[in-house]
Amino acid sequence: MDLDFLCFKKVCLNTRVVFSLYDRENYKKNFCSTIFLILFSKFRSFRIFNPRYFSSRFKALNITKKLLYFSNVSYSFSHSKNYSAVLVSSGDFHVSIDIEPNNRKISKYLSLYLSDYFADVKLSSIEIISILECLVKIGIIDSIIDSKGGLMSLNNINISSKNRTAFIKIQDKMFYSKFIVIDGFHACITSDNSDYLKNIIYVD
Amino acid sequence: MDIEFKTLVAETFEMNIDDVEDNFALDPEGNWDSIAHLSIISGIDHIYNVQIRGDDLVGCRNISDIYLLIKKNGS
Repeated sequence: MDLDFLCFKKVCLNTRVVFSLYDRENYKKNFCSTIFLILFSKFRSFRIFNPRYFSSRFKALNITKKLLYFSNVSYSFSHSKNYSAVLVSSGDFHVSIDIEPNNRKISKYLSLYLSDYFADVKLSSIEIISILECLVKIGIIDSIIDSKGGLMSLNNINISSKNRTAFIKIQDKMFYSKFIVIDGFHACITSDNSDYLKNIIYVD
Repeated sequence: MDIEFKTLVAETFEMNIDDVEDNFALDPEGNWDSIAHLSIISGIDHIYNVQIRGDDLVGCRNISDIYLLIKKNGS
């Protein structure tokens, strides 16, 4: 066992949420030799033959090996341009991640739509979008897009924020989002357990 | 393709309106992500009062396909 591994293990045993953001261009792995590892793991996916989904699942597999947690693992993935983010945590709770480039601009019509519901919220439009994307991944809302056409009404979602943490109330349930800026991206991590968001560590 | 639609495309994909061509490709692995979907749907709703379905947008390969959807759903 190398020193890095021991340090990583020590840190992870004292925390709960680990995430990694990486450029897929610099993350080329032997596809054939690792595909079976993924297919027989909890990270198997119908989209595994797509390079972006393959790399994020492989990354998640490596993180869970180092975490030494093989049961009760929660995880989430986000992909943006050439980058992928992988979030893995021990514990059986809801958690999700969304990444967006820092310089991503939101169109005026989308901003108008958001301001109809969240005009008083002290978060940027991109941060609110990230929260909504996370809520979709968690499954508390089905989609931001209405299946009948247009965008969904967001009247039932209440968002407030303090110290870069957002508090979301929806259907009498509370969710919490934390924002992290890293490598030209901002990452939004959302969970129904606020304690876990206090112990996020980043790994390469 | 009218100027309002080209303006919406330019704003959504952060490009100059003069560079918006009818066959501008939508790449699900690149520019055609969830925020682009939301921008296009909200813009079309606001400009044309037409509600586009997400499933229909996913099938679009270029911006002409989206424009046809507007015409189809608006008529």
